[in-house]
Amino acid sequence: MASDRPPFEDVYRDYLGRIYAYVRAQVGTSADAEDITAQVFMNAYQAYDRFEPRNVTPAAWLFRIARNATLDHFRASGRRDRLQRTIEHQPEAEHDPSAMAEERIQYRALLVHVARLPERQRDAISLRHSGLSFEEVGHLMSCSEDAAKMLYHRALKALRDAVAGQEQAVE
Amino acid sequence: MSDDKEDLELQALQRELDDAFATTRPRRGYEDELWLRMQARRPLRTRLRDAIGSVGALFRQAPAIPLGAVAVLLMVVVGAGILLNSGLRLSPTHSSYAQGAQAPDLALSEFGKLPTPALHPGLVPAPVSNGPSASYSAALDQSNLYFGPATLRWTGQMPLQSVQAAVYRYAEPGASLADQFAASLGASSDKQVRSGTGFLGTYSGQAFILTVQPTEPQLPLEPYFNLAPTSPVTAGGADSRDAAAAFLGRYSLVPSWPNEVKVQQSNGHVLVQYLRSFQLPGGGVAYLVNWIGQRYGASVDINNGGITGASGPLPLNLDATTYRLISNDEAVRMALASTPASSQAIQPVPAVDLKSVELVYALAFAGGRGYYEPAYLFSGTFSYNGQTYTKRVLVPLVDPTLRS
Repeated sequence: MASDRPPFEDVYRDYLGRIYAYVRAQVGTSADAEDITAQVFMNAYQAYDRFEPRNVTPAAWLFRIARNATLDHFRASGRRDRLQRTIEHQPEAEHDPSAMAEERIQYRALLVHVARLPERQRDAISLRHSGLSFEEVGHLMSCSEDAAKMLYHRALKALRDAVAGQEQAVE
Repeated sequence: MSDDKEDLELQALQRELDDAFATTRPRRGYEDELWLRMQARRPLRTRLRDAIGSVGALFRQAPAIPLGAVAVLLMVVVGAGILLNSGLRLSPTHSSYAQGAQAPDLALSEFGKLPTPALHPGLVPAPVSNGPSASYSAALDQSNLYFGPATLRWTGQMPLQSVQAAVYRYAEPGASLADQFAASLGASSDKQVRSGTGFLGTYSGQAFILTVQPTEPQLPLEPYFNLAPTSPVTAGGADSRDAAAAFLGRYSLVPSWPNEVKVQQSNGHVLVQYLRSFQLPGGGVAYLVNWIGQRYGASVDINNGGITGASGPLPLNLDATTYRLISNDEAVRMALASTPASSQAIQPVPAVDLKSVELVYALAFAGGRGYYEPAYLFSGTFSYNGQTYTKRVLVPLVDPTLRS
């Protein structure tokens, strides 16, 4: 039976931006986000013959690859320390004007707060706002849909508190 | 804080997050760049297969994505000028594409112990032990390659003469050489198309983007360039071959090393390949093959009448020397005793009659240097579940004691 996989080019075009945004919310710099996004699609490209759309949506499949690639990135030696340093100095972290021009400043600040959340909270926020359903988020994070909702709402409150704390500190 | 106020705050934050994720996108050019890189890592047959399958999409989407790259892998060529007239040293500019004449007589083993070129499946899917699935079979054609275990028998005819062939070597280039090459095409470094890793340089010229990539040692694949017009260039000339030559000629990139031009077409997608070969001291040529035993070289991609990209080896200096080579009889013995490149096996293990042999060049990479080494490429076919598979065996000809 013929596979009903869409052409990979379509998947690539449809999801490149979303995957990049998801990764960008996890890591401190756009350069790292580009590297990881490239790895995600290289891996997906190689594995596409084995992708079975009857079992999983392209979004869930790609975000699983992206999540693993991001975790690999953090596991790589020294990366976590680098990330921490990058986050701590985030306002100065992006020196490339062209890269900065691509991201709205206010959202960059918000994504910094997302990146500072504990791993699972960060993941829940990022996956949910990348367009995944709670069911898909739960599936990716190995928990139930309800647990994913709870985790997400807890993360949302933590994020709100972090943003409010920053604003108070500025005032 | 009241529940209502908290809800409103959280809703506002959710909207802000929606906006943040919806508007956070990679820089301009990244999508094309990454696509090119992905294409460059795919074997020719896979790209052609996909090109056939997605021609409709190509028509719809015109050339925003340099699908021209659709061939880059094939395009990927060997780096550099081959031989030399006057001493093996070729100019580092792309004029070094100049075709050499004959192999020089150099001291034996001047390069030291050589790495061993080998075939491997790369990205080519291999049959599974319980037989291919229906969808898998549908995706394969009659030229399916099999890298797994097989019972081999030689039934062909070896050449009467022993081989005489040189070994060629390049040193891995740095960014400065890529810059020189780009400058020779009128392109300059472009931060907008720069990538974090994986490139020696990215450049923009008048209506084109140029990327230069280093050796990919895991395949291996020599350093190469991709030149992608920012919009498709109308293919002039009487036919695709002329159009490709004219396009390359515009940038002085027509390969001058020995080559054979091959044109492949599929539903509006045309790939013009310049299959690279090396001249042999006794006359004739030996084609360069990649890690699956397929000839390759520079390429030009034409989609729906428009040229969407070209790729080829980065011009590099090549040194050459000679090594002691094994005899033809020994080559046959080594072919029959060879270890399969993949453990993925068809069951029962197929019996394959190797019926043909070709003298080729294959690349091996070690210690920051690439080596083009002569080898025999044996091949035979067998049938399995109604499919015809090809089994290839690469036997490097440099004496094993001179290889690492």
